[in-house]
Amino acid sequence: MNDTQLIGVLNQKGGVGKTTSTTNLGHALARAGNRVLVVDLDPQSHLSPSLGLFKAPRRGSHEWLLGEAPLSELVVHTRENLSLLASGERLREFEEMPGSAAQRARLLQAALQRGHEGYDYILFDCPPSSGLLVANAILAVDEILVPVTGDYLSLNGLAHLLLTLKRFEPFRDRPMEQWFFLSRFVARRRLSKEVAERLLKHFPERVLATPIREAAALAECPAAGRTIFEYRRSSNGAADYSNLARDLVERRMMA
Amino acid sequence: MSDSEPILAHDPLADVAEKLEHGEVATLAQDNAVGDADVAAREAAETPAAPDEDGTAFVLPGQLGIQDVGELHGLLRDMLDAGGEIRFDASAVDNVDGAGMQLLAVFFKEAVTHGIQVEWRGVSNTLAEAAGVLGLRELLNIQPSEAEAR
Repeated sequence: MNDTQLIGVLNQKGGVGKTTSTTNLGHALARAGNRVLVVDLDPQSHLSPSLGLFKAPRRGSHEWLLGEAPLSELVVHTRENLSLLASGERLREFEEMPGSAAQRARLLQAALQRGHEGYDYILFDCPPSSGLLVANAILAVDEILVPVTGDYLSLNGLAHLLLTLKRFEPFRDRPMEQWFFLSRFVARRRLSKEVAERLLKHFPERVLATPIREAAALAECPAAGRTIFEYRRSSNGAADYSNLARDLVERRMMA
Repeated sequence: MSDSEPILAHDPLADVAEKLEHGEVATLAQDNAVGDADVAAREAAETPAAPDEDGTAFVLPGQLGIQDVGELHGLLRDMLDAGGEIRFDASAVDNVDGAGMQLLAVFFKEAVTHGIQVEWRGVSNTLAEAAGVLGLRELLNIQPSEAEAR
């Protein structure tokens, strides 16, 4: 069980590419021979259509978190080596459930302890909020992977995230690795370059080597229900996510 | 602005680094907030009248009157610009006037225009009753207070 890498894809700013990255990074890792589970912790449920399930499964993360069903009953096998735990219809209710938030913030930890054998990587697609679902991810994962777009608000969102992580630090039972990568990157824009420079300045050796370039094909993938490797196999997006997966595995950082 | 001048006039990561260096970020433990305490409520209480960490959840202040709406308006505008799902915690609102209600009404209309979903995490009886009196329940998606429901 300890061999599974638990990775939260997290940024409290919306629109930075969390779901796109969970989908395509997950598939890139799966194509490299790893057994991968992607988990939708976002009640917006965008991970299912991104993997071609336009009619999303009725049950998913919500039932797993509450111990109402084992993971094996809820998981959908979508591709070779790539499985999905959808959000389920009831995940929206999670934040509103009665009971101690301190206890509810540890439900993912408890669910993982009930068993998640068989996967090399589990990627959690987190919502753009700081509610209990994000708290669950922060307390349960080994690493967080933060997409950062080349604009000021993205840096601002990252700053808020860092404060949130600091606040939860005392309640984690082990250190958390933090990795960042540039998402929706447009190299010719001055602001994108400045954001990249600031990121590298504050997080040397923490920014993965490959920036994900802004690409229309990546935006089109969910509409087709395909990952970038199926939709445009020889596109920049496919190359970028393939390289990003290697960066993550081999710890290749931006210089 | 010249081409050589940086576009970024402010570095929020530098602010965070400074806060961390000076120990200005209270962890939940240092604040004695964990244990049986409600983590989410505590987080919200730490940032009254301001966006919380992600900028999309917002704890409304106890006073929602004409003297408060100016500052509030700017913060709400930032939230609309940031996009995503927005949540309000209005459980602490114990005084609201017409200006405050008007600000909320305009915000909800703008949110619809921007395709942004707005949800309530908590609504005080005061705010629920004011929404009822002014006929704003449907627009603000606020249910009758417990007292009104009875």
